[in-house]
Amino acid sequence: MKHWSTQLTASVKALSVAALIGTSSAALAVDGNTLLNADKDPNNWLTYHGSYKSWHYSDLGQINAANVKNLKVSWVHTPSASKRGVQSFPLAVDGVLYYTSASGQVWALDGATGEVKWKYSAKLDQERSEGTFYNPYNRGIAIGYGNVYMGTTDGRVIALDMNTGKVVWDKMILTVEGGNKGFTGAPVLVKDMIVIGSNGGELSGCCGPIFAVDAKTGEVRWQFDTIGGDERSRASWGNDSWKTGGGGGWMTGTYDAVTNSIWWGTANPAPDYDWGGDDWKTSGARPGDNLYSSSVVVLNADTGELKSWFQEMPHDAWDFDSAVGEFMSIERGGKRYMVHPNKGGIMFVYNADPSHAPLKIENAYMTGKTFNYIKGVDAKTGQLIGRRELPEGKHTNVCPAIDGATSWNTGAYNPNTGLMYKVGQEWCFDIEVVKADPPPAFSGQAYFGASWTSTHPEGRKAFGYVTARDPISGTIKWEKEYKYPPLASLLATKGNLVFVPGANGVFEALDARSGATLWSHNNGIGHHGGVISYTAKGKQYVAVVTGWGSHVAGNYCPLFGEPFCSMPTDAGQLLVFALP
Amino acid sequence: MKVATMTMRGCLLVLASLTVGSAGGVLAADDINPASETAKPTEPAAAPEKPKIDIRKLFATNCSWCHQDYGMKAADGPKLAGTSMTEEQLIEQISRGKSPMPGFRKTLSKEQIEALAKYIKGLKDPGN
Repeated sequence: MKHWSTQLTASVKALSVAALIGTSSAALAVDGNTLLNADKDPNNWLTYHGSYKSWHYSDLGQINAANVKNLKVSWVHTPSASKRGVQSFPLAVDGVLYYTSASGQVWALDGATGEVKWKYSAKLDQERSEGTFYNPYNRGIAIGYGNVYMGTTDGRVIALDMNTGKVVWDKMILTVEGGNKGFTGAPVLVKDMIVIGSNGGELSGCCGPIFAVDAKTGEVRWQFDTIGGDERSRASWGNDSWKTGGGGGWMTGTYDAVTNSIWWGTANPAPDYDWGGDDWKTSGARPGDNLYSSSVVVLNADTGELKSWFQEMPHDAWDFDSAVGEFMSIERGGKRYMVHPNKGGIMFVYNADPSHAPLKIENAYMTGKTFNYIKGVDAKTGQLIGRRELPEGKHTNVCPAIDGATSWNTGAYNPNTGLMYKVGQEWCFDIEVVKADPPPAFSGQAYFGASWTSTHPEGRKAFGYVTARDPISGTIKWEKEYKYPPLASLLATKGNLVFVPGANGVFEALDARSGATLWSHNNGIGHHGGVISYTAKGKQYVAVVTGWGSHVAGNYCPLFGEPFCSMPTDAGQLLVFALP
Repeated sequence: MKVATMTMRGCLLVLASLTVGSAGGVLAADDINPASETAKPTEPAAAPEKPKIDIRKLFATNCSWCHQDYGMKAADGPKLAGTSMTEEQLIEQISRGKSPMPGFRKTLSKEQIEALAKYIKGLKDPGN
């Protein structure tokens, strides 16, 4: 604890300095200090995960289990670009709602009426922006020091004046000469920096960087290479395969002020599928563990230096990123935990003290049901048990499919019920792994190494569920099954509600204590973005984005048929609900 | 910052010399290896044989995330078998992309793009 106390003192000093560097004309001047207490400010939704605790919880109770049946659409906003749907997480500050839509659009709207205050549309390098599979969607923004911050698919980070939408600075952060990588994930404000991770797990070339950018000037403060950045990493990629190794950190991590640490999940290695099979430690496309792909990394927030890590998928043979998933900070019995889901359907419960290297596992449990890529996970060590390798050739009924048992959208935690709410997905695929020729080093070229077809689990159709469980022990309190696996994030509220934006367009409110459906509304198109709650003029609202068309969503038509085969992939809205 | 330094020439050199395959045992594209047609027994010392293109590897490496089962099934991307596009249109779209499909003219050679177009155009739609 002394170690933490010392670091926290330094952290607070740094934050005090940071608070002086920028001002906002908005009533609430959001800065690094503000975000330290975001969980105590239910009127605003200040950062992607709600707060650094990543609970996706609103402490507002005007809308509650007793009156949610009266919830109605208050207003709707339709953005002018929504290819692949709206996947963004809105933020709310002082009754103003900010969100992004496809192709680098940012909107500021009156939170009570939906009136457009300003709109910004980035001028993107279209060839680069559309040169990857990760376009043209955007998953959100950060706010602080009077600015709105957005990463772009062509590798820039842009700061906009939050009152006017005018560009404050616009910096090229990620340059890859021969390929195309960029940003689709939301940045997070940490102290006086913007932290953001790049995409590119499937793209040849290192190094999948995570950047810290000065919030005031846009200058890069530090860069952490998720692969190839240190000797330990390079030694874990035989034949210098880190040079074509993928990596990245395409979703949003968090900050732990107690240890002054950034926690971030990293992407899969490339090729996604390695023909080496059982001999992966010494042969194949990328012999070795392939650090720090499919890992959790803990970085010194001031320097970007690696403090600790844990590789959730050593030599990931299935494309089961650690980039997905929130880092839920939970304190219980004087012990601090970080709870993080892996795409393979494993919940890792870490000791939040990064002086353990690798990170200390406090528990690990399976959240998936029909998985057969492993037999299980060791609860004490977090090591995979009974791996099913996928060597060159055909493999049938591999579960879960590449889309994972959970995907990029987040769960939620209600401190009053003590339950974590999380979506699960059950589907499989048939796959043929090929001995793919390595693309040139650092080329940014696609590097999958297999062809596949989505299938159902043996004996039943693909399905999904929302599970409420104790996050530390994994004990299930209740579970609700869904015919179509939900893909969007969840929201928990003080009103004993869990909001579930469904794949088929139905938006539901469940009783947080029992899972009973208390309210639903058909938004007319699937969801795979964010959902938040905030107040404007003293009234509670719930905002959710709609729209369909991600890579994962593309499997719904072949697996389920309608309504997904006719569901548009170039439409989406922001819908805001309130009591009459 | 790490930058790319390799060229398309490097890309071509690492292509394996394997035969054209068939997907799922039902697909068959026309011969896409013109190099094999030009080799003459009486001129063994002529220009080096152009590397052959293994279309299954090429497809699996670049296209499979969106086009499942070697183009035979729809998912995020459409089923390619039975496409109404001409070979020229396919070459144009593979080269330049059409959002959200990325363009490949910077990462694949002209021969590779032409081979993919020829392969796709040769896919027979099983009608499912």
